[in-house]
Order: sequence, then C-alpha cells, then structure tokens
Amino acid sequence: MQNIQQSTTDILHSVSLLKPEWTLSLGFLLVILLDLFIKKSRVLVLTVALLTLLVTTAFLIIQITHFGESQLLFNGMFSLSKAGIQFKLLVLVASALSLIFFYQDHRLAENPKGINDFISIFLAAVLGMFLLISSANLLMLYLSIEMISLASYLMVNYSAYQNKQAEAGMKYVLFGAVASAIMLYGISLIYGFTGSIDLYGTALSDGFSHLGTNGTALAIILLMVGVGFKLSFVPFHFWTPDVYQEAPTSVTAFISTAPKIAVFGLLFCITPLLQSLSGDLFSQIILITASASMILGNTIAIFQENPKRMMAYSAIGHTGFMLMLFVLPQDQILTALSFYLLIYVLMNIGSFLAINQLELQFGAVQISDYKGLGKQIPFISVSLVIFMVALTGLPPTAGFIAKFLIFSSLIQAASTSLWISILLIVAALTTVISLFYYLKIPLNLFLKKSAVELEEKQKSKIGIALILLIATFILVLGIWPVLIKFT
Amino acid sequence: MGILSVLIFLPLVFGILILVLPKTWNYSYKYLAVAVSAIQLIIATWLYFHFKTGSGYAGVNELAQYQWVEKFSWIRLEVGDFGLLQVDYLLGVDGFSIGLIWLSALVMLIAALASWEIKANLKGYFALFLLLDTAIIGVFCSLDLFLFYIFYELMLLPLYFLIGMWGGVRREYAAIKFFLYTLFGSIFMLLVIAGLYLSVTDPQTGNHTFNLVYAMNPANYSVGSIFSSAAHLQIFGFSARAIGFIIVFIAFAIKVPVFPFHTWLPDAHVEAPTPISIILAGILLKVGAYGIIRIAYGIFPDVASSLSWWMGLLGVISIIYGAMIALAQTDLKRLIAYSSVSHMGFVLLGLASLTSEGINGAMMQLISHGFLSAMLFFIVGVIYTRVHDRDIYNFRGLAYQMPHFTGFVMIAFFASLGLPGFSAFIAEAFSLIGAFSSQSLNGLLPRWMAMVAAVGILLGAGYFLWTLQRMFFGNLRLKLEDWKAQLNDISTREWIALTPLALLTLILGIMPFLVFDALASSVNQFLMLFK
Repeated sequence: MQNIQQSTTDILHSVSLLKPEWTLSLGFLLVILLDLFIKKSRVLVLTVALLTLLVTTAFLIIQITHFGESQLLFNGMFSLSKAGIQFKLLVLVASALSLIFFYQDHRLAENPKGINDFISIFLAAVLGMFLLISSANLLMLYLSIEMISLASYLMVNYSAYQNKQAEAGMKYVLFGAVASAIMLYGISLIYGFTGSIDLYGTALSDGFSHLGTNGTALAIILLMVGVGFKLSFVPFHFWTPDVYQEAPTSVTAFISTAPKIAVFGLLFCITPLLQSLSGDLFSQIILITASASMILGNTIAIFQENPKRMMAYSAIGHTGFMLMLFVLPQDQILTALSFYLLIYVLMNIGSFLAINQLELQFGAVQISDYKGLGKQIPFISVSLVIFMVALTGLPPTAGFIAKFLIFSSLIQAASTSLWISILLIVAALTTVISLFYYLKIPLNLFLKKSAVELEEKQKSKIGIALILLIATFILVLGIWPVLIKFT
Repeated sequence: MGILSVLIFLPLVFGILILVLPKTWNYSYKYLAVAVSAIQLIIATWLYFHFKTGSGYAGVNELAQYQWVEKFSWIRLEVGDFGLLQVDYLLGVDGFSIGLIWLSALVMLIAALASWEIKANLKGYFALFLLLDTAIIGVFCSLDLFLFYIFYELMLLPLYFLIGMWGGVRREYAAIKFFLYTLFGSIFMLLVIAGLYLSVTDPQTGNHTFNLVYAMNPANYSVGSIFSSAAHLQIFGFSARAIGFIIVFIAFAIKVPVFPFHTWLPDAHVEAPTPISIILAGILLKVGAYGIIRIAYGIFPDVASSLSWWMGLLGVISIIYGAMIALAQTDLKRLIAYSSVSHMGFVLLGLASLTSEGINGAMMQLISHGFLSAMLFFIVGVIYTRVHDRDIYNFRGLAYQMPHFTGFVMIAFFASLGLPGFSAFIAEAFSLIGAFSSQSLNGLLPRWMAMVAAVGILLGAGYFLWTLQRMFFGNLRLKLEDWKAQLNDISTREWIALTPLALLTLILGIMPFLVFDALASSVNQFLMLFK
C-alpha cells in the first residue's frame, strides 16, 4: 500500500512540473479540433500554434529561472534538469523559426489537404522532442524517438506527390523502421543483461560491470544505431541526402535542426552513464563516427549540384563536428554544445529560407541556376553568403565563435591523447575542404554571370525579413557572443 | 575611442556610407575612397611623427611600452573546463608596427587612386575595398591574438570577392585558390591560438588571456600547460612548442609567400585587378612577414632560433627560385609577382639571422618592397588599362611613345634591383650583412647562405634590365597598329600616384634612418627574446 501511495503522490507532484509539455499537448489537440470544426482556419491555426510555442517558452523560462535541483519525475521516467530545459528552449527556437517558414513554403501552401494537419503533426513532433530530452528510462527514450520519427515521416511525406519525393520518403520510413528495430533489440539486450532500464542511477552500470566488454559493446552499439539514425552521422546517414533534397524546403529546415538538438540533448544527459561503461568504448564510438562523418560529409558535399543535397552533407559534417565534444566529460561540453547548436539552427534555417526564396522567386533549384542572381537580389544573396561563411566558421560571424569554442574545449585534451589530436586535425582539414563547397554559392551568385536574365516570380516578404533578421543576428553574435548566456 | 580605433574603423564607416548612398552617386564613390585613404594617411603620418623612440618605448614584450594603447574588455564567456573565455579589445603600436601602418595607409591611397580602372558595380567594389582597409590596419594594431585572428580572417572574404568579381579571365580559380591556401594555414593556427590561450595567464588578474604580449613572456605560462616551455609536452613525439611554431610559421609563410607555399601568388596577383594586386603585394605579403615576426618568432623564440638554419634555407630558396622563375616569364605582371617571392625571401633570410642588421634589413625590405611593388603593379596597370595586354613581347620601344612613364619605370626597376641610393639597396644589403655575420655572431646561419642570396640580386638585375630592354628600348613596335593611339603618356592622376612612390624610394635610400630610428629600440628588445 505504501508503495502505491508513494507513487501516486510522486505522480501528483510531477504533474505540475510538466507545464510546458501540457501546453504542447493542449495546442496539439486544439489544432486538430479547430481544423475539424472551423472552415478556413488557416490563420487561426497559425495563431494557436505560435501561441502554444510562446506559452511553452514562457513556462520553460519560468522553470529555468526558478530552478532548484535536478529531479526525476513519474517514478524515474522523466528527468528534469537545467541543461535539459536549455535544450528544450533551443528546440523551441528551431521550431518557432520553422513554423514561420512552413507558411512561406509553396509546396505546403499548395497542398490540397491544407496545412492544418501538418501543423498538428509538427506540434506532436515538438512534444516528442521534449519527452526525448527528459527521458530517464530506456522505454521512454524509445517511445519518444518513435514519436519524433513518426511525426517526421509524416512531415516529409506530407506533400510527396512525385515519384522521387515518394521514393525519398519511403527510404526514410524503411531506414527509420530498421534503425528503431535495431535500437529496440539493443534496449532488450541491455534489459536482459542488467535487469534495469533506468538511465539515471547505478543499476545499469552495475549490471554492465559484471558483463564482459563484448556484451556491453554490442548492446551500446545497437542502442547508438537509433541515436545515429536521428543524428544522421556516418554510417547511418544514407537517408539524409535524398530526404533533404526531396522534402519541402521548410520541412528540411525543421528536421535538420530540431530533432538534432533533442537527440544531442539526450546524448548530453546520458553521457556520464555511457562514459562510465566499459572504459573507452563510448569514446571510441565517438572518435570513429565523428571523424567519419566530418570526412564523408564534407568531401561528398563538394560534388553536389543541388543546394539542399549539399546542405544535407554539410549537416552530416556539422554533426560530426559537434559529436567530437562527447569525448570530454559532461561538465566540459555544455556551453560549447549549446552555443554551436544555436548557431547551427540559425545558419541552417537561414540558408534553407534563402534557398527557398531563390526557388520561389526565380525557380532556381540547382546551384548553377544561381548564376548572376547576386546583383538582382542583393539582400538575400548577401545574407546567403553570410550563412555560408558562418557555416564554414570564419569571422566575424557567430559560426566562427561556435567553432572556436569547440576547438578550445578539445585542445587541452589533445595534448594528452593522440587520438583526440588526430580528431582535431581531421576537423581542421575538413573545415578547409568545406570552404570549397560553401563558397560555390557565392561563386555562382556573384562571380559568375548569367547567360539569361531570369524573370522574377512571386516572393514572400516575411521570408525575406526573416532571412535578413537571422543574418544580422549571426553577425551581431559573431561580434558580441556574450548576448547569449548559457548556464 | 582612441586614435587607433579611429584609424581602423574610419574606412568601415565610409564603406557603410557608400552602401547606403543612392546608386546615382556612383561617380562619387571613388572620391570618397580616396578621401578616406588620404585622411588615414594623414593620421598615420601624425602617428609616425609623434611616435616616441628610445629604450622606454621599445614595445615587443613589454605592454607598458606600447604607444596609443587601447584596452576594453570585449568578450567574457563562461566555457566549462576552458574557464572564462576572455577576449580583450587591445590595440597598441611599437616600432615593428608603426612603419607598416604608415605603409598600409600609403598603399591603400595608391590603390584607391588605381581604382579608376574599375568600371562595373562600383558600390560593391568600394564597400569591400574599405572593409579590407579596416581589416588590414586592424591586423597591424591588434595585440590580442583573438582580435588579430578576426582581423586576419576578415581580410580573406573581401579579397575573395575583389579578385573573383573584378579580376581577369581565370579569376574564379585564382580567388578560390587564394582563399583555400590561406584558410588551410590559418585554421591550424586557430588551434595553436586556443592552446596558447589555455597556457597563458594574465599576471595581473590570473585569468587566461589571449594577450599577445603576455604570451611572449615564459613566466606567464601556467605550469604543465600545453605550450609551457617547462612542461615539454609532446604531440606525435614532437615537442608541443615546436609544433606550435611550425604551424604558425606555415600559416604566415603561405601569406608571405615562402617557397614552397607560394603557388597561389602568381595566380592571385595576375588575375586580380590592378588596385588589388597593389594591395596584395604592397600590404598582404607584409602581413605574413609581420605575423612571423610578431607571433611565430615572438611567442616561440626558443624554437625559432633552433630552426634558424631551415628558415634561412627557405629564404635563400625563395630568393633564387623566385628570381629564376621571374626570368622565364613573358607576362609582365607574372614577372613582377615572382619577383615578389624573390624579394620577400630576403625578409626571411634577414630575420633568420637573428642579428640586429638582419632584422633591421628585413623590416626595411618590408617597407621598401611595400611601395616598390605597389609602384610596379601600378606600372603594369598603366599599360594594361590602355591596351588590355601585358605580354612583354608585344611591346617594344615604349620609351619613345611614353617618355615620362618610362622614367618612372626606370626608377621602379632600378630601385627594385637594388641599385645603391634606393631603399631596396639598404634593405637587401642589411639583410645580407646580417646573414653573413650570423656565423660569427651567433652561429645560426652559415656564410654560404648570404653568398647564394647575393646571386639572387644579380638575377634580379637580370630580369629587370632585360625587361626594360625588351619593352622600352629599341624602335617602337607594337602588336597592333591602333595601340599607338591608345598608349598615351601618363595622366595627372597617374602622376599623383607614382611621384610620391618614386620620391619615397629615393628618400629612404638616402635617409634610411627614417625607418631605422623608429625600429632601433624595438629590434634590440626583440633580440633580447632570443638571449
């Protein structure tokens, strides 16, 4: 009896601490209802979705300013930590920018089903990310990863009416299904080996300590497959180029940023656990995947003709770059990781917005179509150049500060470990390589001259305003990075 | 807001002004650019004449001895184990930088005057031009590694566009090659900078610091840190400090350029429009040499002196190799580009000798080559804007066609090949004396290096005189008949640009103390680092 009473009070106590998540659920339900019962609810749904994100943000900010101690809620299913809230805020930044972007995307706007269903799926995805960041239990982790995956499958395929788009969507779903099956297998192994699925606490690592290295390695690698699929690091990146290219640009912007933050958030929270297992195993996985992602992503990106496909490979490279941090102990990662993620969100969404704008205005889908557009639309072009420079990591953009923070976090470790030195050299070399393809865009925009004068079609003023805003922000943050404070 | 900040950010303000001015004011941009460069030159001249010399104002590794120091705390970012990321906005000038600042201001003015040839997309051109100006002056003034790096990288992007958009036929290739080469060096340098930050602490506050001047004092390195000379940390079996020096050296050697890192230079210099070639040769190469002196040698003196032999060798190879390749060129601009490689070799040789004469010679060579190469590229520009050709064999007997112009060409050529009475003679002579006496003074460089380098001067005389003979002497013979009408003698604007350069090379040749006086105490202080 005592036990049940205890858990009931725990649950009751926990309920009030979940305000951001409740808000998201409420918004999700509200959007479905509005779509069902009110005609022409397009604007209304946008308002509700924006309000949902806004209120969630407010709750999170209240939570983080009045934060006491990290605690586990719902009988060890849900963890509440300051870093977690910070990652949730980052997810919200990415989601809010994406939400505005969705309404500028012509492929979503022209969809006969309307956009409202899409928005409800989007809110569910955000909820899934929140749950993932807070997962304190392997079941919770699996469920929330599935929730994000299902939502992203739907979002990618929402307006896949052409064969190629359907093919990319199908690839995504199949690959995702296999990845999550493997991960589930890993989770069941972990449970079988240790008898525990609690990510916090000592039960897991105690269980593993009686086990040989091989068993632990197998279980952890299988678990990392699911994580790897969502982060799209090598060798689980195969879906990325096709999906990024064929999905509506706004969806690409969303799935290339928000889920990544969530998974990195989770990875951050469980880093102490993973590092405590069987010596260097986790560090070795990180070393291999990080360097492979940086090398493969940055080299294959050189050969891409499609800007979205290029951005896909660039995203793989950036994932590898951020992954490097995880060879360090948890307390040395947070600032560099959060800052990089924030800047990454801004750069990526900004780039995709600009790519979308060029497609909208001039029907330019290949990088070679950008020829000579620089003079016709100077503001968007200059912003796009700023994004590319930031993605390369050159001053005076915030991309440089982000890159520097990661380099500087790792440099001291490099003097003690040969492998980390090699990793840093790979990172530096791939940065030089990345310049080659990022500069292809300025090259076409400004250096090459177009044979024909392209005709301007429609344009979206909100989109342009957002591009300029993000570009300014990237420059300002590059000069005063202190404007953003992380805990 | 100190005077150095004004000097740095004045062009930026004007650049933004140009961006917001309406397109119909197109014609006024170049006057604005000239005006701002002229103001800069006036400020720089004022700085030069108010620059205090003497042992109390040596600078180098004594922050208190720098002049016009400005210091604001700029970035304070809490970064996990890395501690507080503390970047200061720290500017200051000593004997090494004052001459280069003045040179930059002068070369920018000449480049602005050469920008008359730019016809397309003026707004973009002048905005980028002035942004570049800001970055260049910033590099020479910064005493904080982070700030230095930001200005250093900030030069790349404007240059990429300036070469790539207004350049010659192969401009895209040249622009990206230039960018990739420089970035390759500097990204590794960034790692060293991060390592230095972790190693160096501010003696006053005890925080980690990017302060370039503190990094020159071994006492400021925390115990066991990566670049501490006492710790002897090893990376890949080499000492961490040696690796740090080599990385920084390569980063700047690419810029100088030192053989074998020079292959970007002929492409970039040839494809760039005249004003940008002037800036590249006149200032950008000096940034590289300045970086080697200030950062590579200043912060890693122990490694630098142990690797002197190799530095000297690279210098000698650059001198001979550059001169031989220059002999084989038929494109006038390419010839001058390779002559830069040769001339910059003297800088490295003089520096490697680590003698007072050598370093004074190296600094003199920086300044002398700065405005001589500006003059040479301007001369190429004069021909190229008229007939859009610069193949040496397409011209003959130009002396009859353009007598005044030929006069300037002769001054520039004779000065460059090191005729006594001109600045380059003093510079090369001092570098060679330094290299020659090194064996007996400190035993760093063998004598044969100075002897072989002297052959470089001979080769230099070879290609300059031969070019003079091929292009300007003999009977007038041009590739096309109508070139004759186009090849007018120089205009007033060109007179204005060339006269001060010609005068300067004479003045510094006769009165080298103008440079040496400002340098003397700093060079002595610098040499103390190696004791």
